[in-house]
Amino acid sequence: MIRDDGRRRRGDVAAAVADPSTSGIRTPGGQIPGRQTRPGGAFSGEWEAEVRARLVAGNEQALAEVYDQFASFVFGLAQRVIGDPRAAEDVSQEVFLHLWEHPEGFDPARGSLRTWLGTLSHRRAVDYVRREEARRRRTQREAGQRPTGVPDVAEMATAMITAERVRAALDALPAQQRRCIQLAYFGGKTYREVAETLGIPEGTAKSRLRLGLHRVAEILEAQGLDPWS
Amino acid sequence: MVMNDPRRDATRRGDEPDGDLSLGGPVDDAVLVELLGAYALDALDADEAEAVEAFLARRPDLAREADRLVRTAVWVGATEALEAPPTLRAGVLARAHARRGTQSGDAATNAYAASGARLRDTVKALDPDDYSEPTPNGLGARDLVAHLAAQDSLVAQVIDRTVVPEVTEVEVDARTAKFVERFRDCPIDDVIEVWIRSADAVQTWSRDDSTPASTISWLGLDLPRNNVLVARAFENWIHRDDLRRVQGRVAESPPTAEMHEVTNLALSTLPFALLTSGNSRPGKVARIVLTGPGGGTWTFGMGGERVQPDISPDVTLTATALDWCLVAGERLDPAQFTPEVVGDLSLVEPLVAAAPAFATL
Repeated sequence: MIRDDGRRRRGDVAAAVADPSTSGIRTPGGQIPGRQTRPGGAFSGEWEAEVRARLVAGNEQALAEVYDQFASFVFGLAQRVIGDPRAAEDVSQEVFLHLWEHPEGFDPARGSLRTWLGTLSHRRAVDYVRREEARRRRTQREAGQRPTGVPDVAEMATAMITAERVRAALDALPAQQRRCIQLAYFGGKTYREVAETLGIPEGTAKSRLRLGLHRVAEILEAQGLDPWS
Repeated sequence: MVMNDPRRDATRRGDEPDGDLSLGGPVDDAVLVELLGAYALDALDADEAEAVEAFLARRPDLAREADRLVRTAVWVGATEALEAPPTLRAGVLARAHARRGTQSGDAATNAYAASGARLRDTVKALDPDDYSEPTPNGLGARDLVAHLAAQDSLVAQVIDRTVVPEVTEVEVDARTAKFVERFRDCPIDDVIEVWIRSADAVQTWSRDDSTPASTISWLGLDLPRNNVLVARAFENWIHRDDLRRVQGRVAESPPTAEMHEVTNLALSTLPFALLTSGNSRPGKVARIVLTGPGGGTWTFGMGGERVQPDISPDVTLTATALDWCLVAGERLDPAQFTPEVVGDLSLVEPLVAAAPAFATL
């Protein structure tokens, strides 16, 4: 479990984006200052394999640890897409319970737990948004607005740098590509809906989404942030 | 995805709009490649996502690109971390404990308890706007809850732990109709309370009577205790998905251990179901291979004959365990069920026709 000066982290952007391999504040041995990591690193495949095995065995403490590492990431992403804290809480709960009941669905050899949880969280949040649209009860909100809520600002400098790098990579995109990605990812829109919203051909929307993501990946990789983690 | 995609864990059967991809015929690969960005961002309809996943399964080179894009999308999402409310942690851990924390019973008992816990969460999350929404078994959502109360209270009655003595009907439809009528003008919480009391009575009994060989009289049959519990667990699963669809949520299969209990019961009783449904084929041997969570292989005589497991079958049917269970639960139209078949194709129809008999237990 990552700790900071003895205070227990309840999951934060650090857990969401921290990658010990990135440049930034380093100490000898590569550890992030102030953190006590498990052998192999809290976000290492070793830890994730261990926690998966414990989840398969029905160890509730393992679930608590995963929750504490990734709750703010999962909840923040859900909230960003849905725009409703209560619904985001429901979706977040579903995500963790899905992991609890289907731990074998996560394979540490094929990707990180963060990616797995993030993919599931986004999918469930988008499903919520689309069903609410269908039921015409969605609270109006526009992709691009920052959600209300308590930003978890008590995070390590390295994690802040990483988060800012990702935001900077998005900001470096042509406005048209960035807008498409924001509408799709945070607005829960299909590429058709993105095209309709922006008044562009569907093919253009598809292309901008793909090229924009590739560009973000290239920028982050050039900065040493490994999208494969 | 490509690899390790939790989206594959959830079924996508539901009221989603059709995409414009012709799944039944060839689709230009270039069209699918252009969708990879949208796929990574969850910006596809269900049909398109399914087409892309099938495409990536045969194009590992592009699967790697898709992985890269998905992970990049997750990085983007990770910038939005927010401190989660304290109630979330408490809720997650409490529900996790309820669904799997108590592993003191046998597999059938645990399946009944865990499936009931999940269903309770779904029932309690019903919105008043959902009550009149239709479900696949013909009942509205609220009346489906009454049906649950009818079913579990019948089990409670059979095991001499009667919760609703004034309702004496034992036939499923008649009992459900009586419950719907009885609770028509009551708050839904009253229905839920009766259902929970009934399910709790059954759970308590199941933990006291752990002898698998004990039988109870259920729907006119003397059935092993475990069979009734697993059948109830299966019904809990199916109806939870019914209610989740009403709520606009994706369907969710149960944990693998529970799936195994369900498929074991479904396939071990299939020979009997063939006989009772008029679909037996004496002298013919079938092998059913179920893949994925809950999978296994079952070989049996279609006329009820005992056969050796290594006998050469007249027909081998291969499908996912999930699809078989959905057919058995009458939530997958047999016309949409596309197993791989080797051997006598004429034997498939009676097998599929007999599958739902298990769900009437």
